[in-house]
Amino acid sequence: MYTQYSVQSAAFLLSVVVIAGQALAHTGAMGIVKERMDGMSILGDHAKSVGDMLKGKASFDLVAVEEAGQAFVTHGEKIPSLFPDTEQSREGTATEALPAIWDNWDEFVALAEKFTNDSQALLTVANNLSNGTQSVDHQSRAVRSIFFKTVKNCSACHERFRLDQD
Amino acid sequence: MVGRWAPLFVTFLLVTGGLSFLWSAHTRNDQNEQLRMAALALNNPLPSVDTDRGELVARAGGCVACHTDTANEGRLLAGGVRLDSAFGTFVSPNISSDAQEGIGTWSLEMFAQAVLNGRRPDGGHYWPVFPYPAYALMSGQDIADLYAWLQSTAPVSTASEEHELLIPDIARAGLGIWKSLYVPENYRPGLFVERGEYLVEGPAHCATCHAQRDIVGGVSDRRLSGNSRGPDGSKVPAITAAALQDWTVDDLMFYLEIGMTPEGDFSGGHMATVIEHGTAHLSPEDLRAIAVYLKSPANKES
Repeated sequence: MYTQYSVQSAAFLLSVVVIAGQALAHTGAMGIVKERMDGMSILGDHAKSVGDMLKGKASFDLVAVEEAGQAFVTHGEKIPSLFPDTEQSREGTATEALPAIWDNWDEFVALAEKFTNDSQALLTVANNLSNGTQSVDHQSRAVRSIFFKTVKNCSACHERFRLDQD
Repeated sequence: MVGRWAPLFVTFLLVTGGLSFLWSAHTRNDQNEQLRMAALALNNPLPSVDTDRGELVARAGGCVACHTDTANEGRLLAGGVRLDSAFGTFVSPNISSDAQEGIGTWSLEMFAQAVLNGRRPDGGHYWPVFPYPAYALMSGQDIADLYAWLQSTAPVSTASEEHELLIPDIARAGLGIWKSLYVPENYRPGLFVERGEYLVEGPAHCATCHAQRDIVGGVSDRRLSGNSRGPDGSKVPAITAAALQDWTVDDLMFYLEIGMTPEGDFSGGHMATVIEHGTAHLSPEDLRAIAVYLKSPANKES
């Protein structure tokens, strides 16, 4: 019993630390750093929303998919302008942006453009499905395919351009 | 009179004791290596090889991820990926089918010696940055399929680079002793009940980064409780069932396919490479098997 409780309390403490850490990760960010971090958080919320539907944790909702697609397109277009080559942008408090961004600017912009284009395709698929009469199962499969293609760009970009600090 | 000779006698005992320990460790490793090769031949008759399956083994095993320098647009399996560690910088070699620079002239037996036993064609030891302590648990069928796929890839004539290490190359000669401590005996049918456990422990070699390493770089405790001093100074999280209690099997499958966490964040760093060039290519059945095993009581903290 003793071990069981200590494992539980350890797990609880760990989750408190993890949650606090996540809340703190963006603290102290100002100006352009805060602006892009807030943007990324919104993308994450939309990705979670679509992900939860595809996992069956939430009911399938095409309107939410359309909203996600629209948010991805809008933010994707802004990404290059959110990473200006300034001291504040490079070294501002809490930034996780790596110098590799500015050392490989063309590749960074190309990735952002690819994300935006794939997001546009996601939005188009969601719009078309909204106007169609396919089964939820069919809709879900169609969304899954284009959603996966779109969000693989997120990891591709983080892999090279975001500080790895798990 | 006896007292006069005592220090000499004690020294003699220590030296011979130390030497016999080293010699027996060395011998034990040689025996283990022979056992592994024997198990491969006797317990795993290979009726046929499947090249396409071999690619999945290469993906699961991280061969593509570690031996392809995608960040610098390197060609498939041509090596050149740099990995910083406490022992210096390792550079992955060319394992394409090129006869000169790759493994194009290797026999299946030479290949199995490398993957299972960490032995080079010249009989020397590979540094254990090559995760043979996990690959030692791979099945003969997987090794044969993997070999067939690697030999079917395009030859690339890029020369392999030398490692830039803080320890002299001569130290490799002592790795037999290291292996006797850290490389498990051998794969045998029935060793793993679940396919997920086989994938996690064997080819996918999760413990290589997700478990602590001791001072000589060995993983003596294979629990997946994380490593604060991972490759390139990264902090590698724990992935025991307890650490993953907030993740569902579906969450884990999504993560291994597209890198998405339950919160909607996307992984970066080395794990993004492992996913993109590795787990993303696996079948839904294998991803589910890995996820189910990671969530099971068998994947424990203590």
